[in-house]
Amino acid sequence: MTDIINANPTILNASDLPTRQSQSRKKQSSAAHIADRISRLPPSRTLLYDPFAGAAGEDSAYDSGTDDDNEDEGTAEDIDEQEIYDLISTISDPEHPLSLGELAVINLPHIHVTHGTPTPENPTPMSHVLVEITPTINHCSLATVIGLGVRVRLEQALPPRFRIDVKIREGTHQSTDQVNKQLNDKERVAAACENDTLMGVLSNMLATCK
Amino acid sequence: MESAEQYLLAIDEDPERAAGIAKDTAKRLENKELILLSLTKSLGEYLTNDDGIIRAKATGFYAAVLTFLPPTLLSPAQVSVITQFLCDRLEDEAGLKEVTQGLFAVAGMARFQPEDAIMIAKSLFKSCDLMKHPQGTRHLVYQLLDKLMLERRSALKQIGSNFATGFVELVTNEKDPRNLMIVFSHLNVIIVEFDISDCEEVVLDACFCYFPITFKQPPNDPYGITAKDLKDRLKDCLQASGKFAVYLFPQLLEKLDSHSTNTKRDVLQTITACALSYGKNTIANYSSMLWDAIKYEILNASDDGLALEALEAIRAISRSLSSKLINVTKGSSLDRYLRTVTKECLAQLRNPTAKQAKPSASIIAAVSAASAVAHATTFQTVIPGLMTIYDGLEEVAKQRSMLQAMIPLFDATAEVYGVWGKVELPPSPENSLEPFKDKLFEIYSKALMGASKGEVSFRLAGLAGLTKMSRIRNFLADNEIGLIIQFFDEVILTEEKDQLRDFALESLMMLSRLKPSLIMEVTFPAFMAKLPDKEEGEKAYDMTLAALAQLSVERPVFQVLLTRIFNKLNIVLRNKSGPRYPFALVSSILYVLRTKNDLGKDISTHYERIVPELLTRTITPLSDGSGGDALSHEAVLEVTGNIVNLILRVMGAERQAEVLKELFKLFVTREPSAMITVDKELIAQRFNPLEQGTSPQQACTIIIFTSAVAAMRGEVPLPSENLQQFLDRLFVLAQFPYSPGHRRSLLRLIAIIINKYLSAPADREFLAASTDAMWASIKSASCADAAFNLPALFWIAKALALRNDKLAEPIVGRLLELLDDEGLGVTVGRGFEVLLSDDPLLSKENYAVVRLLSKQKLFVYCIPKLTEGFRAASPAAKRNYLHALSNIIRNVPSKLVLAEINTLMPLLLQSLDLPDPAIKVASIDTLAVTVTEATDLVSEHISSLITRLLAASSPSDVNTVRVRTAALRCLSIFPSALNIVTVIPYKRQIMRALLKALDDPKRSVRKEAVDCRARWFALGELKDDD
Repeated sequence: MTDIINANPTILNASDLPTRQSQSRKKQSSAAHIADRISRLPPSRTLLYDPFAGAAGEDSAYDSGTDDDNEDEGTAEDIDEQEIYDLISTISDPEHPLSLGELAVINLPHIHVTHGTPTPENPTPMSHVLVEITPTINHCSLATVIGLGVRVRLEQALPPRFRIDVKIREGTHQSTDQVNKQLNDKERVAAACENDTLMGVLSNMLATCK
Repeated sequence: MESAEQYLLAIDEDPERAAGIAKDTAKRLENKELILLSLTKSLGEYLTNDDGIIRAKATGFYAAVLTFLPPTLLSPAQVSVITQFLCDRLEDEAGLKEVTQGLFAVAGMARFQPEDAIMIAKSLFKSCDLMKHPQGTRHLVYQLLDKLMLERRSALKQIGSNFATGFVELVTNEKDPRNLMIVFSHLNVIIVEFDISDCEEVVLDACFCYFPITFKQPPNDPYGITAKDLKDRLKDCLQASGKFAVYLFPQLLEKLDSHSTNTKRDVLQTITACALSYGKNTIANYSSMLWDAIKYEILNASDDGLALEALEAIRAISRSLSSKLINVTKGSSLDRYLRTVTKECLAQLRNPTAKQAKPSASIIAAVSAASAVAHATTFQTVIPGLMTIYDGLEEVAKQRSMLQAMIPLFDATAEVYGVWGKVELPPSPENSLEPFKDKLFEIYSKALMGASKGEVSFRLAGLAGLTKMSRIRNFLADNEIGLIIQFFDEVILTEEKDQLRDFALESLMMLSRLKPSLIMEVTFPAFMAKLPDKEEGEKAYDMTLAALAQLSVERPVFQVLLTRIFNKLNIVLRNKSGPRYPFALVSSILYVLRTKNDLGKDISTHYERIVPELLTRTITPLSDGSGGDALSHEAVLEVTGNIVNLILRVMGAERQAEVLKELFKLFVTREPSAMITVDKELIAQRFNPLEQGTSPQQACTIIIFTSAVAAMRGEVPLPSENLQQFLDRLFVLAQFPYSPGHRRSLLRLIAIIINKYLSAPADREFLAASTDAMWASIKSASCADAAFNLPALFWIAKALALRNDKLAEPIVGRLLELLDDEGLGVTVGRGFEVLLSDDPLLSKENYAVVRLLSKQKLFVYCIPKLTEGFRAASPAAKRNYLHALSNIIRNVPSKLVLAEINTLMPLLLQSLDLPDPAIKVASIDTLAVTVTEATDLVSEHISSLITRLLAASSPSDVNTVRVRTAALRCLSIFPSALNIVTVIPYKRQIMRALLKALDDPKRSVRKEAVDCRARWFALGELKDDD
């Protein structure tokens, strides 16, 4: 790929990319971290912990201990659009040292996850994820490669109950149908994955996934 | 036998004897027993021998004799004759090494003449085909030349340009790095000092043929020559003469098209060096050609490092062209260069969201930072241009990108005109950003304060711009900076977005160094007013307090903070606060003290202001019979204790002793103490924390006392007449504590006293007797509750073990025995955490006696007993052993564990089957280290390890999020740490098993599963070919 197809694409600012609002502020912000250190009472577990006293009683005056280590074990967190976004937005573009998120090829609103309703007979019903990608220019010949990269990443990272659809977003590419056909044809995808050169490109793209 | 013959016979067998013969011969010459001519004659037959080796040896003898001659012995004529003779010998290829040695000796003679030097150089150039000879010989020749260059340079210069061409021809094809180091430095001298007027290209080629240097230093290289050494020397040659420009620049630019990052970097660095040294007139001719080539490296950069190098080069050109210019001069070479650069960059910035916009702005910043003239020339055209573009932008995204793009321009300005606070700067010239000040201030302020809250990055750009502008020296006026500080205050006090708040606070911290008075005047009152008067939930105050604490590192600011915090504390406690808010207020003092201490500032000067004040405030309310206030909550006592500890710790021994005396009066002997500032007598009557029957709240203040005693230096004696009695008193108190915290501080106090003060034989007897008694009481106890001396034993053992005291081992041995005990085993297993963990107070920083290897000793003592006991133990007791083990390995360096890993592996594997999350996590963490460090052992157990880790990765009551995360993380190390042959058979099993983890209910676990699976997936797949 010596000729760069789109040498000067529009890029988004990393801080504008959608992220999950972290419940624990510590991870993100140093000021909040210091604020926590200063103003948060130590959880009763650490203060009252005594190896010689058996189970420590809870003192209502202490924090009941809602720090990171003590993540609520009970509540399940479903796989949602943001999680899919986090999985694929860090894939590198094949021609720029930028991520698909920064190039707005992957956009949060264009990811759709639908979960089936669990029934007693089938506690884990099929789920469906649809990702629509937006090529940086409408004749981008790498759209297929990008789509394939997204597909491979999702197949590796999602549990088998997910059906995965990767499409070019309507009206953003001159040969949308053709590319879509290629991306969602199981045999063609499998054949592509046998191609060493192509897999080399893909593994470079996926190497930046965080 | 003649000496020549003797020498030839001896030289191979016994070089020392041969040297002796040469030395003798030299002596005879010196004593006139032998004349030079006959020496030469005696060598005649050997010098014409058919065998090259014999000829070389004969020359060697001659050279050796010369080396041993006193330098003043020979007359000028003799020196010349010998030089001539040796130069003639150069035609004989066989003896180059020996001839060179001879010439080296001659060149050191006192009567060595300039003509002789010329003769040597010319003969070398004429007769010597250097590359036929081994590296060592060539090195000798270079050293000879080096000597001549150093001592006879002016003579060599007389040779004219023939010297340069001769030298170049001589060294052509030299490849050895050691030799090249010398060759490059010779070339450098030749280029700078010798006449190369008609052979510039030849000389340049002789240097440039080595470009780029691809040398890689071999491992264990004994010569220590790095690629960088060679590169630097070569660069010095290339930049040495501006006359090279005509040949060099086209060739360099050609190499810039290379695919290799290294080559590109070398090219750019060389251009930078040349631009700075070739002189303005030369660079003027090439500036546009260089710009045209280098800009691609910035605009289409694929490597940030390279783009920076390219910016350096662009900037170096600007700097070179700026020389001797004082004012903006239309039509100057600088003006022309900058005009081209800015025109292209401005065109790119018309669409500020495009990829090349930001690099374009960096280019403008780089060229303008080169000099004040360059700055003025650039900004006069660029800023109005940018302002026009900005006014025409309608989308916020584009405005944002433009504001961000312009930020490097402020940095460039700060570089040229300096920042506030530096004193020794010369009066700066008119700042060419000045005319645009109001406009820039306006658009950046608007971005920060006028945009909607959701536009985070737009507002961040505004914030960054204002920050950068406010630091430029003599740019904004104080009232304008004050306004900016108000903006930042507002962001910190009201902003929900952490990112903005963090940035604003960082900016304020920067300004608190450059403009401290403004921070005190503007920020402090605003923040203080924001703190509530009673507890309202931490959101109301946490950020404000954190911000205040971070801004208060400078002494005057801290003084103000202390006053305000103490006042606030009064109000808050009067309003019957719970412990949270007071905890936060006191913690903020601790935070500042820690920061100051880490920065190396003396915090003991704050003693008067803080320690008695806090103690009085804590203890007084406890003495009126009530339960005291929030300050006597254990968490707050811990913080107060930490503050006292930190301040006392840095004091000298004398002052510590004074303070300690007052503390003992207060806590132990119940005398009026200087620690209490109001009503000392009353307190002395009513405050008795170390007596049985005291109130629980009073008893807990021991936390502060322990922290204070912990801070004492070893040479400060405890003001207690009988330490053994004092300890006995503490032992009794510790048997029936009011709370876990109370017990912990009593036991800590005991441990500190034992560790630092009880090492005399009598004291150790006392300790042995005491622990024996405790042991007896434990043995007769029926249940854990009755064994009230058990915790004390652990702490005593800890105190002794830290100083490698022999008394420790028997105690630990007894404790290990108890692991089999049905009633006590569980508690003992947990107790091992106390024994080996690092205690914050009983530590080296607090002057505790901590001997080298004490942990290792304890570890080595425990492990065999543990593994042995484990094998014999009942199934129920096995758990206690594993628990103890887990507590031990969690608290020792992994290096120690690895040394014993062969013994421990079976135990670790079994502990993975225990239904205890904490043990599981500890074991998995240990295994994770083991995987990379003890690959053989892990490979042996790989099958059972993988099965157990996979099992631990599926959710259950035992497999908490932490267990699952640890298991997946550990699994993900396998592919890279172990031999592929070992792991690949498990790939399918793992890929399949991890599908389940991909569907884990917790997001963080799924994340680990995805990463882990990706690693295993990559295993055995084709690798990149780079």
